[in-house]
Amino acid sequence: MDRRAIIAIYRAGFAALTVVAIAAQLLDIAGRASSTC
Amino acid sequence: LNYFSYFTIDSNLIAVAVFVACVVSWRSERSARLDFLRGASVVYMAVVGIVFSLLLSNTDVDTALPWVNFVVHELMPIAVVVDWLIDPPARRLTLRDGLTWLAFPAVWLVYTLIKGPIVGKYPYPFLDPANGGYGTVAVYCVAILMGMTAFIAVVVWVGNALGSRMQRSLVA
Repeated sequence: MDRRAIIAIYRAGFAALTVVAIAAQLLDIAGRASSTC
Repeated sequence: LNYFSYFTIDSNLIAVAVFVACVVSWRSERSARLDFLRGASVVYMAVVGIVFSLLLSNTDVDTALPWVNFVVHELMPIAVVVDWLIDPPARRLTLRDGLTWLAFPAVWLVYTLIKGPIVGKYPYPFLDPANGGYGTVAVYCVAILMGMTAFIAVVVWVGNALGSRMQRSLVA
């Protein structure tokens, strides 16, 4: 496979993982906030 | 909204945006502007990883989910630095380019120190004047600034050295 394609897959994977992590954290914070209301 | 006041989260979002921009343009010729932004992202994420391991590993920074903590404070900083090493900038960067990367942390710091007394909350304990006064906060800020400046010089130098070597190997 083209080296540039491998690097693009690497970047897409880490970008997606980070977005999922931040979204999960936001959902967790929202969940905790609503449970204390 | 307070969640987005963390330097960690802002830096991770910048890193994601830069990675996405690279992915979108992966078939195009390398852009000097994108390499400039990648360098900034490397510095911010390395600061996140280093400051977390030195000052914050035992502190509550609004990350109750351990795997998220690992991703944003350790895995992504390593991924961004590795990305810089395996795909260095195609054009030479100057130290002056690197010093402009300090603009974002400087603006973030001013925003944080103005917002802190207003909302009564600081994102990191070492920025809270309740822990030793503004003198202690200033010492931490100057130390981080000096570390960041030194790290910028390393990022620029390593990027240029690896970039030139890669150009030579492509020509040969």
